[in-house]
Amino acid sequence: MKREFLSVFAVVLSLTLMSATLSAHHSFAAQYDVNKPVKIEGTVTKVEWMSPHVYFYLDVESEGRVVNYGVENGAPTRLYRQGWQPDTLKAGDIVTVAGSLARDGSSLVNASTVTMNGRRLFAGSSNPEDQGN
Amino acid sequence: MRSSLVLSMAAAVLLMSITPTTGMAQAGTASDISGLWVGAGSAGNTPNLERLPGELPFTDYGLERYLNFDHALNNGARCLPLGPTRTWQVNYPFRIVQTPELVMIVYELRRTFRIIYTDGREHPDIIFDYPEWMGHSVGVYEDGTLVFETVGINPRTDIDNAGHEHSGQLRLVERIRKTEQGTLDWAVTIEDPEFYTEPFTLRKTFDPVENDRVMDYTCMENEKDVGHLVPGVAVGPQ
Repeated sequence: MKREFLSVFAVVLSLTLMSATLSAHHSFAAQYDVNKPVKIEGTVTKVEWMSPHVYFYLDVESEGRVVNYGVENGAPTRLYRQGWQPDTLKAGDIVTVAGSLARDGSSLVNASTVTMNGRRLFAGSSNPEDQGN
Repeated sequence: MRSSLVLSMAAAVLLMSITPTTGMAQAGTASDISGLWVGAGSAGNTPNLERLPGELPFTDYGLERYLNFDHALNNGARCLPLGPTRTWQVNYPFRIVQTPELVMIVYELRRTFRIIYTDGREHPDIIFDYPEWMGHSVGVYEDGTLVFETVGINPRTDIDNAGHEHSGQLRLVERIRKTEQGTLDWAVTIEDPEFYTEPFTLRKTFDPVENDRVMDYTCMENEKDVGHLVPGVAVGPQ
């Protein structure tokens, strides 16, 4: 039953695009730099299905070392209403994230898109330029 | 500019249709506005985009505050209640519960609520000395519209996500009515002589929600962003 949510992501995404909104609890621009776009692929190490943002963490290998990125998404209830379940992402899953890096140099990313097994998941980004993704 | 002029005129017409609320005691027949509702969110702008940032009737002081508003230092990021107008701006559902004595609005976002007393009471004498994060509200029904006044609003809240602030003198007159189409119309007239030279009105429409509920959004559950906000980079109009 839970996997049925994944099968309707295309429909959900189209609806999402029509009702694009922003809802972060903080200013996107104060934390993230839209001029620092990043695309990373890695292995999920932990998922925090909690308010105000769903966070998951991603081990990304680059040039022989592994960096653990924290990936910020929308609030749990927003993601849930767009088809996510708390276990949609699990430790060990391989995902690709596109988004913006944190201004303060920390390994945090505000997700614009999250892609798993070729499917694009709703990320609930707070980036004004990514509404609806 | 042309569109903003048209919208400003629309706002002015709406403003003229709103009766000052000093006489809240005369109650009419209650209309059913109960249920679960949700509206589209809006980013930095005022809730209905009728007035864009910078177009509001600022006082000199209000404009200075707006141009220097640092979004990294905003109380909203610290999981505090967003206040009675900004809370309408977001796209999380809320439930309206009506009794003969009051109307309660239960917001999913931050699990906040407002109580609008419709039993004829007045605002408490202490409300300006001890303001509340969502203010104190009293109201009546006028021709099927819930009209209510809110004062005593904690000045640590903002009018919207864009950085429009207010003082302790903020007074809101809100009107909520159910339309023939089954949607919910909300309008607020904002009055604050310290920040704005004249009252102005914002409005928004909400849709009924079925097969859903007010879910959990407890902001402090896992807040970890405040320490990463960088002051000085997101200042003024965004």
